[in-house]
Amino acid sequence: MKSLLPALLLALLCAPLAAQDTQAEPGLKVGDEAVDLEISNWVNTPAWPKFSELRGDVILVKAWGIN
Amino acid sequence: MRQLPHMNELHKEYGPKGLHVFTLFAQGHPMSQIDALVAKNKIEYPIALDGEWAGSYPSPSLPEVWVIGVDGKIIYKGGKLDDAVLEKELAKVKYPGLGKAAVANELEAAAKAFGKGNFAEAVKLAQAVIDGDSPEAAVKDAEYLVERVEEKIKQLTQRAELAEVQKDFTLAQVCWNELATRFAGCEDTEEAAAHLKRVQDDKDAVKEMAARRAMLVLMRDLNWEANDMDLEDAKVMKAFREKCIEAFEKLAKEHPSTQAAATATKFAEIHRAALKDAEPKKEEGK
Repeated sequence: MKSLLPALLLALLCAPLAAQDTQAEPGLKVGDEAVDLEISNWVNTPAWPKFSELRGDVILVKAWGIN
Repeated sequence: MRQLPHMNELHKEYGPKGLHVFTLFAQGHPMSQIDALVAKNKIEYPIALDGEWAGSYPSPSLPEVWVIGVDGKIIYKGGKLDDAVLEKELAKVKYPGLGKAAVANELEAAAKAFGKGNFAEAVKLAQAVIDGDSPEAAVKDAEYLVERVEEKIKQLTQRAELAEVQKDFTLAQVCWNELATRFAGCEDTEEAAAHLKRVQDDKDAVKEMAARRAMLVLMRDLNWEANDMDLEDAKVMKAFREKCIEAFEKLAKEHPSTQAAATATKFAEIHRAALKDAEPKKEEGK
């Protein structure tokens, strides 16, 4: 399965492409304060991309892929 | 993939109730495949394509879901989402976007108008509460609502202006459009429609957007191609770098005087320098 993370795009500049270490990080847990995304490119660009600006509402974040 | 239509349903059904759907495309597929999926499934929610998220929102397997509750904290994390989790949390959102679960009775109509996105109407109703002979708690809530609208207008205006400086004209248009439509009739939004038209009609902005899109397509294509290569092999890497140089230089030539062209030129130079660095090592090995 081809599964290069988008964060690796700039890694084209660094040879050879390395495994994405961040995949091994635990990330946010239930109870943790949400962290804003830092996104360069979107499909359907949102006017409100910062979670911190949406406090009081509910946010659903889903990471997905094609296969 | 089968869940994409369901995400659209959630976006449409629960959006007006205070749900914001964000998705992170966590694979390296080319834009052509992503665009086809978006068109086929009529996806309307935002899809993040690149940036920094893997540290906070890692996805060792897909899909992975996080739900952020009204207090800004993660309330769910897992592979498959039960809609009941969303429904339970959304029940706490009485006035979407307001950031307040309850208001004084006198402000109920204003808060409801705010929750429906009728911001000008909400401010008008809140101002009436402020100007009228209202209890202190109601005036305080009314002032909060007016400040909330003003804060949103300020955030959108600053985001649009910064996006223009950074030549992200897609984001600038989205923000000006939001101000010109959902905030129409509010103070300090009178010029939003004119700003939107200015950006839409700006030939340089159109050029920048086309160049930015071309760069995105190219980067994803190259990345996708690289995924099948053995880049540990010096010959393969050399050929790939040469291909990158050619592709980046082509893009810079086709989209002159754009930010993407400058970036492409810089990337080509980095690849060229890397090729040069690799040369002595190759000779030493002989």
